[in-house]
Parts: sequence; structure tokens; C-alpha cells
Amino acid sequence: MTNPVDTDTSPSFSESFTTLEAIVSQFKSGTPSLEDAMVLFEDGVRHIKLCQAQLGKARGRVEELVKTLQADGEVVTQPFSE
Amino acid sequence: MPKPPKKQPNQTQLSFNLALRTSASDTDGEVSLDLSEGALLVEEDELNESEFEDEELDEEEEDWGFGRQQRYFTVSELTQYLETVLNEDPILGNTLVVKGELSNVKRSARGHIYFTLKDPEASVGGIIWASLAKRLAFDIEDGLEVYLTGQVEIYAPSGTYSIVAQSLEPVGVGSLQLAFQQTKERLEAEGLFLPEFKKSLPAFPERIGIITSSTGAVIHDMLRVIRRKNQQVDVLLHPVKVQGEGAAEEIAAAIRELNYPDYALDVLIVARGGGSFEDLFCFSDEQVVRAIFASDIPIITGIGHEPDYSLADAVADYSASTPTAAAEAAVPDTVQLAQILEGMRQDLANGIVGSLYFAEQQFDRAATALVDSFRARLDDTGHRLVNAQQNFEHESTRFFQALEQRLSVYAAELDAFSPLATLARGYAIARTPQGHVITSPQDVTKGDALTLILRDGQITCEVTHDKPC
Repeated sequence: MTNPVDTDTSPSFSESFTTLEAIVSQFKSGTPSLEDAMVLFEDGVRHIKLCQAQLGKARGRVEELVKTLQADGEVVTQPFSE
Repeated sequence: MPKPPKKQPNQTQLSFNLALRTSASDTDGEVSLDLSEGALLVEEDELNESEFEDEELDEEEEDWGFGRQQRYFTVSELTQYLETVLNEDPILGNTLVVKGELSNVKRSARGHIYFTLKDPEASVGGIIWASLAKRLAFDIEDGLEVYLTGQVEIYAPSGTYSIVAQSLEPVGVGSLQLAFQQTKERLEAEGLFLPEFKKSLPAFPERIGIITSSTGAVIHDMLRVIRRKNQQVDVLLHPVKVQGEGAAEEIAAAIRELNYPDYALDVLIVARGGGSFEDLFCFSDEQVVRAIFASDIPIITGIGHEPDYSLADAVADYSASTPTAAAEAAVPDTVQLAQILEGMRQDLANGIVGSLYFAEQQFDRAATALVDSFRARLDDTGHRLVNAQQNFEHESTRFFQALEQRLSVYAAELDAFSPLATLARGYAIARTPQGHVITSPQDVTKGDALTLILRDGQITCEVTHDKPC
């Protein structure tokens, strides 16, 4: 599973997206103080970049699970033609 | 001899009559029992009418004309004979279908099911051997009305007969429909279909698992829908049988398999194309329903076509009407997402500009307020200065005027005591250079300087005689 975005340190798209929504709604529900606004803005921009990086990822793979005939019927994957 | 209870003699008579007939036919060397419906179905009324009487018995006993040893059956013989009769009967000797309501359903440890099949007038015991019980789709339970296909058998040790089932069909509905209903009610009672157990679907799945047949158009249709909306997502297909024997087990196992964290799947789709109720039935199997319920990963179902409905749909976190609708629901449209992101970027920019503008306004307001307050304080000080000045001027004028007045009074008073008037008349005042007024010759000695103050000036002179004249 190759993933251009390091999922160990970066939040997932969903997490970033949810955070973004929360930030935007904070801006929309009232005017935060300039200090808060700066923090929110920087955070928001960071999450937008993370999300955009995910959207710009390479085409995903389609694989099929196959059970090998070896002992234990070990499960392996093989490409599945779309 | 007291009359025995009503039923008992009738039964005895039946057995007795049967024995009679058997004996009779034995003598002819052929079995010619009348086992037609009329002969077998002895009405209760008829039984009651043919009263049991000792005399008649005695007569018939005498009429037999056999030795005592031949005038009875052993119980085993009787039972054995009944079995023979039963087996040779064109109806009872084969499987037959009996309609009745199940009651007293009991399960043995080995999985056999014992029950009573009854209607308002009669009842008969029945057995479903474990081998059949395992295969039945629906649950055997009290009150269920069934068509039971089976064979009548006599159980010698208890002298009873019962029906051994070979198959069972519920009355009114198909067995699968009934099984569906029973499973649904049971799992519903357990709360498996409650909305609070439904997991929300991930907004942006990176890897999705699909459990369906790897052959046929369904999987390709789903993949097409997924790729149309989303190029990035990885797809892992777990091929399974989607109908018939073993399908439910495979589907349930696939759901459990794809839950392994190693596959890192964000959402699962369980799908199958359209088919008959029987074809789709494996998706209502209890083990499939339980596997979906137990899944840690959210599950979307797309089974058959509207209005097909399976219990997998009922338990799923999201149930789509078709496999392609399930695929559609699983992945977000990335183009649309990019637009939403752009919208949020705009909102953020507007937000920060808004905050800046607001802060600027606040600053302006604060600055204006500060200047205003300073100015106000300045003005205030000015006013006070003017007041003070005015007060000062006023007070000082008053003070000096008063002083002047007092001075003029003093001057007038002083004038009255002035020596100047005396001097005007020709007198002089003699003083030492130190200013002491000399009033006696004793005050001076020869050579002292004196100042004489006259009316309009003064003369400095010297003492020439220091003795009094």
C-alpha cells in the first residue's frame, strides 16, 4: 500500500476535511479575534493543502483477493482488470 | 362387573375386532382386511354406540372355535402385525402429507426435534431427525402450521405411532419467506437493526473492499461508477458465491476477512445483481447479518434491485438499492470535492480578511476613543486654567483693593502722629548717625556728629561743648 501522504503523521483526508469544515464554520459563525483568526487561517491553509494533495494522488489500484493452493490457503492479491 | 370408563372399552374393542378379523382371514390362508378409509376411520359416535358388553364378548369367544392358545396375540405380535398392515397399506405405506399445527416442540441434545402435530380434533406425535432439522431454513416452533411430508411409524415400546418427517413446508408462506420473517423478528428483538448501531460512512475512503461475484457484469459496473467519480481510491475485491449452498458462509467469512486491519479498508460494499427471493436469500442468512453487524468497517449493501430487500440491507450501515448505487454511495466525487475545498479556501480567505477588517475597525474605534478622551481631558484642563486665572485675577484685585484701603486708613492715622507738623513750626530733631533721637546733653559728647532734621531737610553738625549749659 503505497501512499504519497504519510498517514502516520498527517491526518487523513477525512480528518483534514472535518477540521476544515470546523474552521470555516468558526469564521462564519462570528468574527474571531485577530490572534485566533491567524491561527485558524494557518491551520486551515495547511489542511487545504493536505486535502488537495490527496485529491491529486495517482490512480488507485484494483486488486482481487485469491487464496493460494499452498498450505493454509494463504490469501494474496492479484490485479483485477476493471 | 363394573362398567369400565367410556373410552377404554372402545379401544379394546377396536383391537379385539382387528384380532378377530385377522384370525378369520388366517384360516382362509389370505389376508383380506378391509383397510379402506371407512373401515379405518371409526367415528367416535360409532365407538360410543357399540357398547362393550361382557355377554357379547363371551359369545364371540365361544364362536371362535380355536384352542385357547390361539385366541390371543402377544402385544409384540399385535404391534408387529400393525406394522405389517401399515407398511402394506397403499396410503400409509408410503410418504404422505399431513397438515397440522406444531405444538410441544422439543429438541434433543443430538438435534432431533420432537413435536405434536394437531388440529382441533386430533393430534399425532412427530419426529424431525437432526439431519433434516439442520437443513430446514425456518425455525420449528409451537403454533406453526405446516404441511408435513413423512411416513407413519409405530414405536413398539410405547405402543404409539408417530410421523417421521421427510420435509416440512409452512402453510400459507414459503419456507424461505418464513425463515426470513423468523430471522428478522429474532434479530430485531436483539436490536441488530437499530439506527444507533449504524456507523457513518467515511467522507473520503482511500481503500474500499467489495464482496461480490468476480464474474458477471455487476463488479465491472461498480468499478466503472467508482472510477467515474473517483480516480484515487484503491479497490480490493473479495470474490464470493452470491447464491445457493455455501454462499452465506462465504459472504460472512469474506466480511470477517476484510475486517483484518492489514487490508486497511475504509468501507466495504456487499453486493449482488438482481435475482429471485431464493437467489437473494443468502443475504438474509443470520450469519451474514451477524457478520455485517460485527464489522468494524462501515458496510454498504447493494443487493438485487428495488424493491428487493434482504436482512443484510436492514443491518447495513447504508443500504443502496442496487450494486451501482452502492458504489456511487461509497466514494465521493473528487471533482466536487475539489470545488468544495476551493469554496472553503475562499471562506478562509474571506474569514481572515474579515477578521483583519474587524480588527482594523476595532483599532480605529479604540484610537478615536482614546484621542477623544484625551481631548476631553485637555479641554477640561483648559477650562480649569481659565477659571483659575479668572479667580486669581478677581481675588488678587480684591486683595489689593482691600490692602490699599487699609493703607490709606493707616496713612491718615499716621498723619495725626507725624512730627512733621512740629518741625514746620521751626523745631528740629537731633539724631545720632545711628538714628537715635537725642533728648538730653547726656546723650552726646564733644566731637559727636549729629543730624538735625528740619521741616524740609536735614543738617549734619558737630558737638562743640559736651557739658550742660
